Amino acid sequence: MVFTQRAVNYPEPKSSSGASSKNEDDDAAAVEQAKQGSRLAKQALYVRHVELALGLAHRLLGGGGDVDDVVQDAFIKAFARLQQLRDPARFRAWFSSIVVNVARRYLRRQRLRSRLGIGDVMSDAIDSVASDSAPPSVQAELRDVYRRLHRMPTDIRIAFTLRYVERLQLEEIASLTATSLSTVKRRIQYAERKLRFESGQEDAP
Amino acid sequence: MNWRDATKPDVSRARREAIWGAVETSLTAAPPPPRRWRWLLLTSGLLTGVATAAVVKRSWWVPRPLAGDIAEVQSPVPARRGPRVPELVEVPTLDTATGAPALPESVAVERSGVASSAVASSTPVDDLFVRASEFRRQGHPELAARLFAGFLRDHRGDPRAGLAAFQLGLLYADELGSNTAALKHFKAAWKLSPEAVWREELAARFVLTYDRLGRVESCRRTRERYTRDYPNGVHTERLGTLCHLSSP
Repeated sequence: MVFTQRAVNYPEPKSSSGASSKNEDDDAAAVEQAKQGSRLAKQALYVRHVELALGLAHRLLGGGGDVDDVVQDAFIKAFARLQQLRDPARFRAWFSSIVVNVARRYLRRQRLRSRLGIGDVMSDAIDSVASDSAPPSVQAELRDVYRRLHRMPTDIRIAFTLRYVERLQLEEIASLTATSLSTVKRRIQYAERKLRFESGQEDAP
Repeated sequence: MNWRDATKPDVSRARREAIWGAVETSLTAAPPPPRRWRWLLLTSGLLTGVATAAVVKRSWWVPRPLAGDIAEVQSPVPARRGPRVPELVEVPTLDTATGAPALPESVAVERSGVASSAVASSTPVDDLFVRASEFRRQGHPELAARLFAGFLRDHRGDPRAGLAAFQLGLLYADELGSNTAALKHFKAAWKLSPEAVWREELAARFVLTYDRLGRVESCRRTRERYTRDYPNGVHTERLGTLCHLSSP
């Protein structure tokens, strides 16, 4: 199986570059204006971060029709709670954590719906997780990975996806998921062992 | 190519604008009514057939199969429509004749394709089975089940309550994949319609459902009852193949 060979050679997570200070300044200014009720400022924040949200939601959910809903809910939630953002320059990180939270809610809902037998949204979504431009072997590999993740607990799935698909640093994942570093490590280790176990390379976790 | 690069989502302008449209609508909409009231609105829309509820400020969940029939509307212009909502839709304000509560500006009602064909603005009880069947045919077993469940709840004393329960059981067994729920409704139908012409079918359904649930003893017991009550029953042969212990 293609996945078996490549799953143990996870792509190296990218280094944490963070937002540039100019972007942070722009965000800070837009957030301040949005707090005053400026719709233009909110639109500016949307334009600047919608791709981030779409990408994050797409990778966390594995594609599917709920991605748009997650993005929409995340922005609505973010704008409604803008007053709670203490450091406007950190909008991007703060907003990302909202996307992760909303996505977690949707993933849990999907699992519930799947269990109740009212639509296996996750299975339907898996086919659309990889972009058409990706090589067929990578597409197949991704579908395989997401199919396996689909059976894992939501928090484990999120931690693994953020690490190996989104390619974030452990500290960033801990911040996004509001958990400790050790919890993040434990979840990722669990997912790795589970995937290796399913590939027949290790005993059950 | 790494996994991240291979999972680039569609970030087309149309998609971004569609999402922004929904977000902006929620920013400009009037404060939503209390959650419970909103839910009742949706429920009443689906159950009584006032219309398919369409809400500008979307913050609730509807089952995915229904999403295609629901449009978000900023009266009188649909802001976002489900794939099955026709292009030309009438977007009336809520008809006061239906007795529904007046809607705030943030909420509008749309008569979508499904709504107009299957849910009239006034819904006499007599039409229920026709409308439910139509929903089922259109691929909306959840909606059909809601209609029957609403009928059962509101018209328990109606002579057709048993049939509604039976239909509900069939929907759960054959379309919604819940044999436990199906069994519950079959039991209700059994109790409600002691003289129904479809009782033989119902008796056979008990056997089938118990078999699917792996309840061998109950399966055998109901099969014996079926063969005793309907010695020449049309399902005798088929039922004879059921009620075996599943292999360990």
